[in-house]
Amino acid sequence: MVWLQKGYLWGVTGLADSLFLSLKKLDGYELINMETCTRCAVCAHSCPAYAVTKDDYAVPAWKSVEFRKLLNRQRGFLSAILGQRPVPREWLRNISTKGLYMCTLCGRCMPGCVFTIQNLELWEVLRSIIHEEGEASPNLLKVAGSLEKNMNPYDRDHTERLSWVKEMALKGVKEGQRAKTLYYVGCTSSYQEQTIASSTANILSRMNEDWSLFGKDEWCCGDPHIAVGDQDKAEEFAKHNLEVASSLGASRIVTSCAHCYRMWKWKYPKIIGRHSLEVLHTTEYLQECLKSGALKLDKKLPSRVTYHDPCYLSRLGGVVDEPRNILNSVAETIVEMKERKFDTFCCGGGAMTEAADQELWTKIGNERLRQAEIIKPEFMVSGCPFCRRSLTQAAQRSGSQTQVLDITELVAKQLKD
Amino acid sequence: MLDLMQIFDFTRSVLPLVTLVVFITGVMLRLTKWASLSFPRHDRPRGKSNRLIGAIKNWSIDMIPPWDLAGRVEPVAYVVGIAMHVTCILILLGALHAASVQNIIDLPFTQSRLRLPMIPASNIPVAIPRTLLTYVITPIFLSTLGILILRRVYCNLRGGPLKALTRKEDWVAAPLLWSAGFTGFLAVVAVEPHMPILTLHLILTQAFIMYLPYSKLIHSATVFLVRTWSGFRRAIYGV
Repeated sequence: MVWLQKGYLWGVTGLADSLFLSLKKLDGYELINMETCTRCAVCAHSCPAYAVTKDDYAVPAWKSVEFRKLLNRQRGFLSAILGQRPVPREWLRNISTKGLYMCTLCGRCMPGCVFTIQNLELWEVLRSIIHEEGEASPNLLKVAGSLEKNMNPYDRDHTERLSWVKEMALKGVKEGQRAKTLYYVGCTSSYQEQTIASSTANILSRMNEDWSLFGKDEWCCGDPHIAVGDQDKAEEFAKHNLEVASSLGASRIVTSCAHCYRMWKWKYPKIIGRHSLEVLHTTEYLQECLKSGALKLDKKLPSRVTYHDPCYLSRLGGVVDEPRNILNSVAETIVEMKERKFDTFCCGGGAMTEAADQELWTKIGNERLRQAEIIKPEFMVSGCPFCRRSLTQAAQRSGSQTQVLDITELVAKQLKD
Repeated sequence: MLDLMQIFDFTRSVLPLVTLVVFITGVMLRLTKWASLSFPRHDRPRGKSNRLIGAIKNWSIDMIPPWDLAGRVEPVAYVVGIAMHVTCILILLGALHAASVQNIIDLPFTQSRLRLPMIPASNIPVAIPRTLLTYVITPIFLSTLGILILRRVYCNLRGGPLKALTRKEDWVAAPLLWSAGFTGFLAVVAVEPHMPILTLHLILTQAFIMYLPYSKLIHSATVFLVRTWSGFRRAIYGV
């Protein structure tokens, strides 16, 4: 029966350039979601990548169509009767070079779909299949190389991870010590957007929190691994981080990064099983402090402030009210963009797009800034270092007067002496 | 040479059995395909709200696709798409079709019914009352589905995302449904000669049923799962 299963009945030639895919990462839920797509193209209108490129390959359903084509070689109706057929490598290359990475994994196509198909997991599985077969984006493979070597995606030495503590001259910051609350800084705040890390550290200290940093044992949360498609490595990093948190006796994790938040809160339980840690984004933590009266703020800023919801915190994380409650205590005028809350528009920073496709990253960042400038804010505040980076760069490129800040920076500025 | 009456009899006697076999085979193959993959129970933290409420919400107030995402870009396709699906469901649930399904289901088990003409039948009025279903809902269904087919033709000529997504199957599924609907409409309003149109309607309808589990039309079944699961997910994540 092997000859039947391997599709020799099909008279397949050129097997050297064809392969049988491992579909172990794909589950039945995802398959049914995929098979529900009717190729109506409605999702195109919600996709930030399509909005800025108008490239047909950026349409979310294109990936779904191509994925189904791959799958049908091994799981199609004819394969059920006549045996599986190998997938031509060319098809994988086609997906990899055309549309797979023209996506920030922001998940806006899910509410945009008339059936609410859960596309995000599908794209993650497709990335993992492409990666497994050695056809991943070369740019993302560089990111994977850095993660392997340095435990961060930015090709910066692991020993520099805590350099921001010295650079910002922070005092009394505990590193890798037992504490009730652990601040998981994340790679982007540790290496690129360090003011977010220092602001959060300041706030935690001012709240008299029993807290510590993970210290030198903090590894990347694994989110970039998922963008690359290496789910096994994501699992390895998740296990490591969780072990460190357990060894430090923490009962909760606070993070200022929306991507890390989603990993800790929603992905880790899925990847490695449920954990007992309470996971809070800084906005949730700040709201808690605000409610308890621990957070005392100066007079409200007499400025127009808008909040950019990070996709991974709002649509994929479920946190939309907390940052707004905090901003209401910090600034006098809060103005809202049209694309907000669960319908937020991506900043371009997700899925390591800056590394994978810089042009796309730039275009989406520019578009988001343009959307903000319609309502003329003085400050554009977000809750994620990726958003801060993408939007700051967009503002610099266009010479915009809008100042991009993280919510922790704004709160740290307004803390009462 | 087969005469029309023989073909008509065939569409009510043997063809339904063939349809049933092909349909069930398709469903079995589809289920086998799904069953070849695992359905893991993921560990998730306690959800922000109740999963059942999430599913109900996803099947009620969140049922209409968000205007902001799709409607503002393609308002015609948006309104037409909703109208087509609603009228299609109403027609399928119409009394005539409910009775037809009943007859088809009974066919293999009740020989006496094998010879009972489905339409016109003793238990079903020959001339369906000229009701809302016939003169309002069906024309809306046919015109909206027609617009959606033309939209795909237009987009394929003009280019754009719909062209990139169109596959051969798309030129079968919707036109087949439209043809079945159109012949059914003509049969009901009794365009003369009545018999050939009714025969054609029965053939097209059964072709549609046979094709359903093998094609994208399967979304008519999977949508129940997908919407419920996404409702669960939205409740868990609080979105």
